[in-house]
Amino acid sequence: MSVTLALFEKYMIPNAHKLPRLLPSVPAHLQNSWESYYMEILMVTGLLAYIMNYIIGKNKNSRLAQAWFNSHRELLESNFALVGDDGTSKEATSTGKLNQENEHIYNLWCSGRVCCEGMLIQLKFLKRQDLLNVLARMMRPACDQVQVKVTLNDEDMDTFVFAVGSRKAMARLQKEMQDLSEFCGDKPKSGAKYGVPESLSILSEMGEVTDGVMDNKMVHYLTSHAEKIESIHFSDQFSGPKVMQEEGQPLKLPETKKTLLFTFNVPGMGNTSPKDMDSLLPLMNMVIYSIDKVRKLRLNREGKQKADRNRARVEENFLKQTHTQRQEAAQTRREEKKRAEKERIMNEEDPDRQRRLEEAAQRREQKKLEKKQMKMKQIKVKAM
Amino acid sequence: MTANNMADPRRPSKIFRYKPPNTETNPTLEDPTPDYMNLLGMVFSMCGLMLKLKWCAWIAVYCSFISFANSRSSEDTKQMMSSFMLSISAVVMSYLQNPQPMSPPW
Repeated sequence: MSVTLALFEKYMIPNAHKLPRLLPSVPAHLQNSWESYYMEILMVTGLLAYIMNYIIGKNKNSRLAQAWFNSHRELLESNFALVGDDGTSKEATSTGKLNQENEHIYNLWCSGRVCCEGMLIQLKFLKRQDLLNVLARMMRPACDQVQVKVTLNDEDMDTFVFAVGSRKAMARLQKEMQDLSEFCGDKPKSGAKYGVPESLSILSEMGEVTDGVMDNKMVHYLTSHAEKIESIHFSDQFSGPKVMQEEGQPLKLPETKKTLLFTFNVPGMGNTSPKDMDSLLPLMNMVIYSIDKVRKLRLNREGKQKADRNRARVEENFLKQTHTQRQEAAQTRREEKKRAEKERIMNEEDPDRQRRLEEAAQRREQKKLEKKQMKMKQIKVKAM
Repeated sequence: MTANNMADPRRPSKIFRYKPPNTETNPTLEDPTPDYMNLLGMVFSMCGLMLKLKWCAWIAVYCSFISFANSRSSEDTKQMMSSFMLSISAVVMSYLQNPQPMSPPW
């Protein structure tokens, strides 16, 4: 372009060399060199960086999961008849490997042991495969977690609700969890009273339960691994977090299951190495110890009565709150029935039968009204 | 034999099969990121295609990558692939219609 201009100036305009050189700069979008596509190159580089991070992150999570499983395999295989099950195979045979839910969550189901139904272990790693998440974690550090959920049969656990964990976790769980908010209404107590570090707090249904759970061995476990413990939750009324219902409260009490829930933080605060997984082994020992302990822990007569009273109270409160809803539901059901019957009468082709059905319905209505009136009279007499 | 049984806590007769948790009853268990990113990706792709905005198309590609990275193993790969294809076609179409480089927002 500049060559053309120069030639033009030389031959077409005389004395062009005397004119000031006005070589306009060509706008970027009219140039055709690679340099002008720098935004695109930036975008593609970003995508390549994302892909690289995906591969590296995925591999790291996979190595961590495998390291965890290798260090815990022996303990699990010596305690459970079934280690590893995805629920899809016909026969209940141990798969002997983790289920991969996605690139950062791995599951392991163990079953076939005394004192429990089964144990679900979830390795909830950080989303190392997602670059956005990696960048977000630079602002707000987080750590990998191992969550263990042990489900128990009815005879494996007495009726109590108990939780111990970091202060922050206890405050959050007390608000979020259905059973902790209903049965452990008091503020979390400091663990120092029971010989564990002050960083841990305790939520309990009654003092007897805390004394029963916090024996010497448990205190020793909690003290030696306090920084790795996020929360430990034992409950016979476990139904998960409070469910927000849109159309008012549910008409039935949520289903509960006797559960022991453990959440552990993997040391390293994100910069975990496979070697760190070995340090979680004592915590798994604590889980096994807790399963056996809960089986043996029985409340005395007073404690049992208190526990039964608590459960009855919670149920009564629930019934009271849902009373109006249940009444409305019953009313709608009655109206539906009436409407259905009327429709049946109307649809009846034979006029005689129609008349007879109508009369029968009228008689039923009359009887109901009389019964109601009798009841009202009785109440009035009693009141007097 | 009984002494052995006492020491060994394993009971093959007490095996329960694994049942995946029901996420319908407890929606807090599910991570919504892949679904949101998928939707966002499709929205940006359509904007990029129809309004001929190159940056929309590029963001759509990023969204579909993020959705893929966060997706569950059980999810349908067909949906992921279709979202990828849509965003890539949005980018390609924007450049075919207008080969000029993207201008930065500053």
